[in-house]
Amino acid sequence: MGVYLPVYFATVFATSLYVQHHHPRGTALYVCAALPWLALCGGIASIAVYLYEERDGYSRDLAMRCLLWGATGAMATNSFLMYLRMFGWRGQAPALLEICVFAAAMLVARIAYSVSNRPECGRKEN
Amino acid sequence: MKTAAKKTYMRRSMTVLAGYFLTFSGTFWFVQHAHPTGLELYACAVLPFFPLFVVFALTAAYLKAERDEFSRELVMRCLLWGAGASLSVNLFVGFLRIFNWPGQAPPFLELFAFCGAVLLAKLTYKLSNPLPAE
Repeated sequence: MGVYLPVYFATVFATSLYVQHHHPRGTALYVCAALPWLALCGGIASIAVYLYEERDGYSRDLAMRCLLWGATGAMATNSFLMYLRMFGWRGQAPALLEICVFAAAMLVARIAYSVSNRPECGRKEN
Repeated sequence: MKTAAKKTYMRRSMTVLAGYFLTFSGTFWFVQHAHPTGLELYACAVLPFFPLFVVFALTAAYLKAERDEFSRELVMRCLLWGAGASLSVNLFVGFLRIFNWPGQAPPFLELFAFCGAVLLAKLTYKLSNPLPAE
């Protein structure tokens, strides 16, 4: 994941610069959108590979739970926005709102699991 | 073979989904006739969204209640494949919008991507882990 994020930011920066100067349309616009998207898809694939390779069942289960909470947040936001648009909403949601909600929900879940699974201080072992 | 938790989950989800279709049709009809704006429009968007949210909650409750670890892990994996597909479609459309795409993505595109990927993952896992004949 650490490899994909710099690649992603570099791709977003370069593509945004290109789009601002050349104003591409049609297929060129699709290609410009596909470039940073491919970098993020690499990140998603690296998560899948991590889950496949992780041998510690507890860590894998925890990661899967956090990802599912993130996905729930993202899908809930996406559904709400979709209904608003369908019912004639003229507004514009912030760009990449769903991915931000995904990351936030995942972080909250991770913190909540860390707090709830914290070992008790001073517990006596029998 | 379906576990008791899965049967309960399926029964509850189907009931909620039936309610969803009724709510969606009712709200859609109201919006087309009344053309609400502002707070009313937000309220209209919440109505069909609420049953979907209940299905999410039911899925979480099922994953908590499921005692068969293999079934739970399989469902989690399928859901994650669905989430991966849905997010990647959403990201692609998001980048198109950022780059001033004048078009509009079809409604329910992300939801269809989610359902399609979940179904495909389920079929793939079923084929790769065939249960012995009883």
